[in-house]
Amino acid sequence: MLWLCIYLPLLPLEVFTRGQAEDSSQGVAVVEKQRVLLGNTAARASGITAGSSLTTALALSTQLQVVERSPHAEQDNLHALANWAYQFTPSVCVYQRDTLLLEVAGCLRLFNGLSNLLTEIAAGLEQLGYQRKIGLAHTPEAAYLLARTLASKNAAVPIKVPTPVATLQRLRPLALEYLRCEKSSIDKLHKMGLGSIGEVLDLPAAALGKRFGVALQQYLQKITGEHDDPQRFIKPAPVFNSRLFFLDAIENSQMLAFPMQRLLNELCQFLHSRQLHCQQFIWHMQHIDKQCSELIIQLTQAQADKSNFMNLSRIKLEQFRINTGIHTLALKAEQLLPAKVHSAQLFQDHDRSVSKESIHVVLDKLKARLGESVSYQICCQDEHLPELASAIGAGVAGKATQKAGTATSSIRPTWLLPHPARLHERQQQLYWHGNLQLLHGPERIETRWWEQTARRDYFVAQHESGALYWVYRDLLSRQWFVQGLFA
Amino acid sequence: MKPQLADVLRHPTIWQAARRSSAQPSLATGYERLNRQLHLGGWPLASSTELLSSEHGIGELQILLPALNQLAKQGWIALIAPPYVPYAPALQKSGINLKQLLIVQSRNAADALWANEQLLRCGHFSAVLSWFGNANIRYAQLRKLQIAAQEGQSWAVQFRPAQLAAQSSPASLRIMLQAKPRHVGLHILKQPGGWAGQQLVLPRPASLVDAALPVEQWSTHQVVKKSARQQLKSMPLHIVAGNKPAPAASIQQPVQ
Repeated sequence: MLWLCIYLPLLPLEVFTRGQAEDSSQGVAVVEKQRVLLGNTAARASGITAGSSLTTALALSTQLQVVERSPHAEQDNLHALANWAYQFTPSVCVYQRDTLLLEVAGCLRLFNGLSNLLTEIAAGLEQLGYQRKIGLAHTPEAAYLLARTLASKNAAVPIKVPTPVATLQRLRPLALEYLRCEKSSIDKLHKMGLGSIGEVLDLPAAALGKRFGVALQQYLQKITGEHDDPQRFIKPAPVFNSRLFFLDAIENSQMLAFPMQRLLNELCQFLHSRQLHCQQFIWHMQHIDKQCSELIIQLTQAQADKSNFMNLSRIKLEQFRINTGIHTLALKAEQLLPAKVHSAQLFQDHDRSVSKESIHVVLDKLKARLGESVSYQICCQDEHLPELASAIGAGVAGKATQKAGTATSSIRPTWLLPHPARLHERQQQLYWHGNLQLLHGPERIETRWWEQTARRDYFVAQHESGALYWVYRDLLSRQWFVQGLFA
Repeated sequence: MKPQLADVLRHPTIWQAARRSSAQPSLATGYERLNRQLHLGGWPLASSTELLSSEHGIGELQILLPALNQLAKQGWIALIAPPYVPYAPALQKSGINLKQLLIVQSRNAADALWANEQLLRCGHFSAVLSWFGNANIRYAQLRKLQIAAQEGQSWAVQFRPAQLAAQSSPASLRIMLQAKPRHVGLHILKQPGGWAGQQLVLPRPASLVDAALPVEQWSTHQVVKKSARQQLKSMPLHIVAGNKPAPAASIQQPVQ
């Protein structure tokens, strides 16, 4: 067993600042019970330290932006991150409220060594906007202690798989305060003259157990690996859902581009690790006046293409007007389908040297900008009534098995009027923006007796300008209509 | 020749009568008379063609259909902002594959132009037909479409109102369409690289306009008449061969 512990020291702060492109120059402090819990670089530079009271902090920096800690959001983010870590190993658990634990012994070969795995994890976390400390050990608790006590943030960890002996050697000098046990026990140990974890571990376990209770004894044995420490691994979420919070409400759609990119990165990793494609994703925005708005992006073909997702989002965003500031941006993808992956050509086909984007990409772009029902296809239907014989196809390019009706052998116009237009009779002649002269006909169409009988005589008529129209006489109402044009 | 002059002449926008461009791909129109008038011998592909007419229903699609039939085999065809509802049975009958026909409606000219450019550029569409109506489209925008058509190796056909004939346009071919009782009249306004100004007429489909003639002159009528006559001719021969008076029923049989 090899446990990799990802400790996120700045999680309470990063929950809020992750949506920003860079560390802002303005001080930000997360406050819990009127005490500063964490500050960003600018806040620390102005002298605000963890634990100082809110009034002190505000006195030190008048520009300070104060946010109340949100444990709920932290847990959401941590679970989203656990799902993200699922791409590395199936054994992921949320260990503490700011710590993830990954069992990586089984996947070292897949990543061709520990150093590759660590580089990928570090790069991934960097991209997602998290600072981390990473510990590696043969037991969960030892890994956690090592991660907690790493000197600097983002510090490098040993490249080689550590042996239990080496791990214990590194744990020995640590102060007793790092042990996760009751404070009274630690005080007692101090009074016994013990200063480091190593000294406690040297004591006979049974004797310690008698004096401090079985809990401490077992805890210490879990560190060394003498006692089992079973973990509960997460079940990967079936759908994708992730969100970003903003300190300053965003009022400009351009500024949404960066957080969108960040969330789409997460989505694509999610899809990639599960071999899924998504058919639709939704941007959900919460405004400061408690209004919500949504941008729904429907894809012609399920896919997992990050740059395409971003392009479509950008097109949608251009049309979206932000009236009030946005404080939360969430991305949801619930229509997920198993990926249909095609093998790429090993040798480039010379005929297709011009790299074409798929037709679906183009159609999606149209839909995103113009709207859902604006681009469509038509198909023939087996109907006698002319206006019903042509129908709007269900889906563009997707469902190829449309029931194709048979084309009639009779004369049909290329253009149809949306609704037949009434003709007038003037001096024994048909009139519609000019005189009409009947050329050809009639063709009797009589159908739909089961609903409302239609009985029509169709003619080809020539307009005085020379254009050819398709007109009919409704035999029931004895009126003339124009229905189409022969273009 | 001075080197400076040679440099100027090498500029792509400068046209010389002696140097016919052969790089421009073309496609036969399907009408021999029209092919002869076009200097490329057909529609200029990978470029834009402008058809000017103020009326609909005068045969403006009919003259494109043979070419569109060919192009439909190579890729998709798009209709952008058609003035009326395209009617599937008629299009299918004329040979267009409806599964590769995309219709785009747009609310305004800006959207139509944008969609037009996207479709031309993507390379999947062998022809993009667009109707701009009376919208005022600037030269630069039309030029953009032409470049997009060049990049995507697509044929851009723009239908525009006749009153814009005097406006300049970057199109590789401009034709003014006129309605005639039994024909569609074409007036070639411009074709860079060739002579313009020709006027010609192409017949409308016989099935549509034939009916204006007396019934005896219909093509269908002639066929009916002929076959009926042949039947009648063969009938007495048959009876003669039998060499006996045929009963009334057997005479009627071949007529049925």
